[in-house]
Amino acid sequence: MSSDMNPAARRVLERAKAAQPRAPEGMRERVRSAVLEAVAHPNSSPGSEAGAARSSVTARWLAKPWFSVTLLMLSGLGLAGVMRVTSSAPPPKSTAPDPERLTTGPEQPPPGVPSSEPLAPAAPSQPSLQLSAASPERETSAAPAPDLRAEMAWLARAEAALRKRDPSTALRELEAQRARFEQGQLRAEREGLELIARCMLGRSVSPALASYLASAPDGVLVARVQRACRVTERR
Amino acid sequence: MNRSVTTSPTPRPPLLTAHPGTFEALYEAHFDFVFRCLRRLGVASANAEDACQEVFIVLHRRLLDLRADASARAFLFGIATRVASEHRRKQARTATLELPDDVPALAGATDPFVAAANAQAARQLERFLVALDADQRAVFMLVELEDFSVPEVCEALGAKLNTVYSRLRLARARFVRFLSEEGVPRE
Repeated sequence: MSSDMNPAARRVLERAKAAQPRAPEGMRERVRSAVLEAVAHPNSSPGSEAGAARSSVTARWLAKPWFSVTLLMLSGLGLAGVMRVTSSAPPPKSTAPDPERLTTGPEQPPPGVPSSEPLAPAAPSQPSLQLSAASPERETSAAPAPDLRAEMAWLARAEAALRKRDPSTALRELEAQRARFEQGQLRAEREGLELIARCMLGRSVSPALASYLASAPDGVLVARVQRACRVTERR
Repeated sequence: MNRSVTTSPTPRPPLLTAHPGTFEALYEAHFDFVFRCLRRLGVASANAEDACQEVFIVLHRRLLDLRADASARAFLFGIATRVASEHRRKQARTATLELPDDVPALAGATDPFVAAANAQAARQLERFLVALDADQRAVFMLVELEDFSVPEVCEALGAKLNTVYSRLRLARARFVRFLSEEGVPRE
């Protein structure tokens, strides 16, 4: 194989080998310390950079109030709930407990927040809606402020009432929420739920609906509002 | 009596980890090799320290995979290749591709003329390696610069013997052509 290269090429290689790249002074010891440190504390190693980056991205998203609310809505409702809410004619109110509703559990009022009426029998396990709202707090230092959590809890109760086909209760919850958090961070979500509840009651919502759709065209509840109020059918 | 706790399901060859000082020994013996490989595989000097760290962290975690009859250099080169590949991707995003700039000041000689010649040869070689495709570069680098045997290269790259010989032949031919284009006389 050596015959593949002429003497000049061999000479260049020998010279190049004499001048191989060398690690800067002190790097060997620094790397050794860093490796031993990383092995002792695996979570801080560069090998977990990707995981750390993913965690950091997750934390940033969870820190956004609208993202937390979206999670709250999705976990609280589920697709089946959405379909029921958007059905054209509300079925007769049932007193039997809805098995699907039990998966989200009853909504407890936040500390210091009065509840207008009990919405569902107490479930033995922790309600998943509360977990959804609380989990970002555990993962990020930029957790929702207490007021925001209270707003979220109130909206969750309104959602639960809508899911039970009880728009009157939902409206009462939302009006109470409005009284307390007139300029709250979840105002758009509250207005969306109010519109859904009113449409379920068959009330006229035209001015408020137009205003809502104009002010929050990309809101997380727009599609639900449009379905509940049959906006597309009217067009 | 539950024996499953103390017995291994699959017998394995003796491991290097049987020796308590194995990681330290490997680190001392191969740190410079890993550094050189990373630089020649395209890791920028600014990232070389992090890359070295990653290689040895992986080595520490995977010591159990290193059989006593395996080549530690081949094993380390396999890790270094993957780490370097990851770093090259990051560097490509930040456009920091560069030639190695850590040729020693005296370039392995006390005579300044020899040192200058050595440094010039090193830079020529690096220019050549940068232009070479990854497969040929790995083979050329390991055989010509790190004195690997061809079977050891096969182990490092997981390639067949004939493939390695073929890549080596092509890389050598390209090196000769490259030097000719650079104006280096054949004799």
